[in-house]
Amino acid sequence: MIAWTPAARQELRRHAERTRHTIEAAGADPAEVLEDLERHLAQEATAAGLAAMTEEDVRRFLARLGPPPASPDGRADPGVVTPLPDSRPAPAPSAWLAVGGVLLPLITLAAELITGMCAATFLDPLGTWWHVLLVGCVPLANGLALHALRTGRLQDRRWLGWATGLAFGITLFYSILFTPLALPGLLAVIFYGFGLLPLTPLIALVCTVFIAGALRRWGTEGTRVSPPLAGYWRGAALAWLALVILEAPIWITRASLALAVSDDAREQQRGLAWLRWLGREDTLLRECYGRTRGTESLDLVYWLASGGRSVSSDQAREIYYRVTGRPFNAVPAPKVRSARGVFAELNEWTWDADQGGERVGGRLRDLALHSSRLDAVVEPDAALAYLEWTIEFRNSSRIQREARAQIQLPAGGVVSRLTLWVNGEEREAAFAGRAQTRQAYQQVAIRQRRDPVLVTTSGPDRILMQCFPVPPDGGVMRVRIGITAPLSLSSLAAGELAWPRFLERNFNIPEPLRHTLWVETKGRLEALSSTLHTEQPKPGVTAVRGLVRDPELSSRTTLVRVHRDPVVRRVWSTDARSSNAGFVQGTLVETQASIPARLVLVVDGSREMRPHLQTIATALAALPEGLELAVIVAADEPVTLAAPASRNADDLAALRRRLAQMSARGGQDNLPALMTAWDLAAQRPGGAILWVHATQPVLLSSAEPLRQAYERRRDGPRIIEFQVATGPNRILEQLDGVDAIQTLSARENLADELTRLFKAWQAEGREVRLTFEHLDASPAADDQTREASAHLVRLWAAEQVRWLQAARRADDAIALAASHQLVTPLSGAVVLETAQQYAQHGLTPADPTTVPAIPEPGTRTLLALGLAALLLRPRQRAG
Amino acid sequence: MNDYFDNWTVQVRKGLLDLCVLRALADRERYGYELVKHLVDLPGLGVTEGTLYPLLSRLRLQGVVSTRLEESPEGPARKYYALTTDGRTVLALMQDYMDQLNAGAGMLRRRQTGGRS
Repeated sequence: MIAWTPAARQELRRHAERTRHTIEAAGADPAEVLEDLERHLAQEATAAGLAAMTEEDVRRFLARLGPPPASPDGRADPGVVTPLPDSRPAPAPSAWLAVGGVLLPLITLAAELITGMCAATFLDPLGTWWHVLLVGCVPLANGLALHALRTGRLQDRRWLGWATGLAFGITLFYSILFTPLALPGLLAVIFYGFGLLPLTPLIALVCTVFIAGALRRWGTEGTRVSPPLAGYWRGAALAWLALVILEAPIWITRASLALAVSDDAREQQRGLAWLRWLGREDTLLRECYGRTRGTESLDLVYWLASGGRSVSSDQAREIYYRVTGRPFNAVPAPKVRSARGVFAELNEWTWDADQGGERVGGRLRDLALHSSRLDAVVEPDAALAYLEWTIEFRNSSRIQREARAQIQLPAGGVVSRLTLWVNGEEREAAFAGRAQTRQAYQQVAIRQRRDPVLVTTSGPDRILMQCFPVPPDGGVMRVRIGITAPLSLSSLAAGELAWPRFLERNFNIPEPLRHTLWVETKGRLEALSSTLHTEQPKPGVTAVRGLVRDPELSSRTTLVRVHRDPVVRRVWSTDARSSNAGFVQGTLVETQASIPARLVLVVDGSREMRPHLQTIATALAALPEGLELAVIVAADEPVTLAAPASRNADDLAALRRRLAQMSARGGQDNLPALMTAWDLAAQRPGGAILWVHATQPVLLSSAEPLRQAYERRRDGPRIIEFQVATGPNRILEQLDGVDAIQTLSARENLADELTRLFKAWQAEGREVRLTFEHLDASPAADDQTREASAHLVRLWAAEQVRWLQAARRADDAIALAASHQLVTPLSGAVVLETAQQYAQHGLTPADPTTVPAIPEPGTRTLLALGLAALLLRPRQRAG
Repeated sequence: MNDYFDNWTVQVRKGLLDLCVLRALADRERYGYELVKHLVDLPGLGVTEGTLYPLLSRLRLQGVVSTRLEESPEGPARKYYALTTDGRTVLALMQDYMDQLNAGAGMLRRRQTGGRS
């Protein structure tokens, strides 16, 4: 019901008074006509969306009603029946309003939807279908309003007010967003005749304002009144509300991100808290992959929200970890650009900032693992295995890509062979100093864009493999990595073979892909689960094979048990490569497990640890009685949950409860906690640190203090580390070459592994180790002694390199690693394409007759082959 | 010449206005606002809304139309207009007369056209 103001009623009464005589003369009832007029005016106000009738409204509506009826003298009064009006309806709105307010927005919307031109080059104005819907409202609202103005359907004006308000709000938002492009667009139109599309929001905004004005003035022609357009501002507010709902999470995330990289520690904490609470993970992930500079500077809203601070992709990656507790490249890469149609190729312009570097970096959408084959041969007597991992990468993008991966080797393993297929031919690697091989790789790969592959170490039992270029348009690159590794012995009678696995990668592994595994031995093998199958391919040889998904490589289900003769305790092999050639003897030694005098437990307080806290607390019950224990939690600041002390059962139970109830959030820096733990553990000779942690994808502080501590005190506390999930560990990378680190197999679950460790520290705990000795003469033959392959010498050489490195004899260490063709913390392996490239970089590729293979030829076999070759040569010449 | 024509059309439309109102109510009753909008939109009639309410009042007083009020959920109460029995009789007479007049005028036009051909 329309509310009348007193002034409005007054005005209507005045009108009735003025027309009373005329109405009476026409034979009508003035009181009835007054009532009719009041009702009519109320109807008009309702149609116009008015909430109240004002004096001005009454004047306006009465002016539209026209004059009263015929005069009393009976003569024709021009006012009674007016002369025929112009047959055209109210003045039609200008055609340019239809062009600028309807046609141009429609064309621009269609062009962007089909091509994604703007999304490809500047910013994506149609990020979601909700954005498309909102933008689509502009031509629709303007079109309906123009149609109503032409046809004169006044009763729809209220809804048209809302609609044009909505269009106004949307065009205003996009005009602000496109302001930086407006001037270049205008200049382009003036000088080149194109570039109108960036101006569309502004043009549509102006047209919408004119259309709204026409709607407001509609029906008041000839009067001075200009009533407000009902619903207009509410429509505009609705548009902004919708846009805020769509955009706010992105703005909040970016603004919080800017805070989180601030120099002010309090701002950092505030930014992190906001991101953990309201942050949008997808936006953070996009920042990790580096939006273009152009996009950042053109996005005014972001610029305003962030206070003009830009965040590098490195910073974003750090923050992503601190917020989520996961590495940014543990999830598939986001679609950074969203061009469509003919512009879709522009999406691939994502810059691989880590190409040629020493980091794995972000996932590349179109690079994938094409095939993966693992072959292994086991020597049970020597308790070692040689594995070859043949990997193919496929690049379906239009540009060359570099494949990079960090690979976890079996504990104590060392890379002893590397090959690359060039033009269908397998080429062997050169082994030399780490810097020398990397320099050769970078020059050949990045500058000359030819075919090299490089392998260097990346922490204890970890290597970084990188190869370039994986050819575009579906091209495939194939590499093979040979690994010599000791078996993990649980007793003299049995050990386990673990497979290498990817810790971090910049390529995708499609779901259908399976790693094909094959391991054989002349002894006895046993698959630990039904995932793998045991068979006998030929008499005296046992094999285990299977097809496994990538995550299964990290699980216990793919472990292979190797049974051996426990009587054999000594193995030897000829060392023909060292400067002091001779023999290497390996001895299997069974000893009492080393019980730490003080144990400092460091628990990572990152979010990924939440499900494991209870497990750790439970496992603590298996600790030997009387063991001195301290517990430190790696949080924003290290928290000492328990100072070093021997604990009785009640104390331990209380400590376990506190540990289980601890809150874990984001991604935490573990280095300060490790350093605190080192100080505590080092106070007691034989102290040890047990570090249970999630992945450490970002180095949040320097590892140099810890590294220095180990360099200056080689008998420093050993670190026993267990990582609860597959992923990178930047802290361990920094501690590459530090002997004191012992990795617990991540293939066991945490509870079993900790329980096994703690039980080994009980009085009856035993462990079996393979120790090496270099001899001038071959050991005497007996029942306990067997000859082994050259892999035994490689394992000895790897240990020697570590010893030489610790003794600061880097040159000797590199020479030894190169002569035995090993990848160590000081040496790398690189395959180049041509002999000239090798020569240019002072490298010599491995002689194919000296590299390991499957099955590894024994010394006698090699001699036999050589003899056969000598015998055959004259015949071939004769032939 | 235009003034003469304009005066003539005013006379014709004034004479036809009552007939148009009654014709608009011949099929069904209509409420005031609807009836007024309907007549204002009629091409060629050239009537203003201000003219129609006094006319409707006069027709009611003359017993040609009747009215009734009905509450409306969409706005003010609606005043419905309907033809009375007298109104229907008057409409029939007016229509017959208009038919005769049209026929006579048509006859004159045909003769004129026929003479020319």
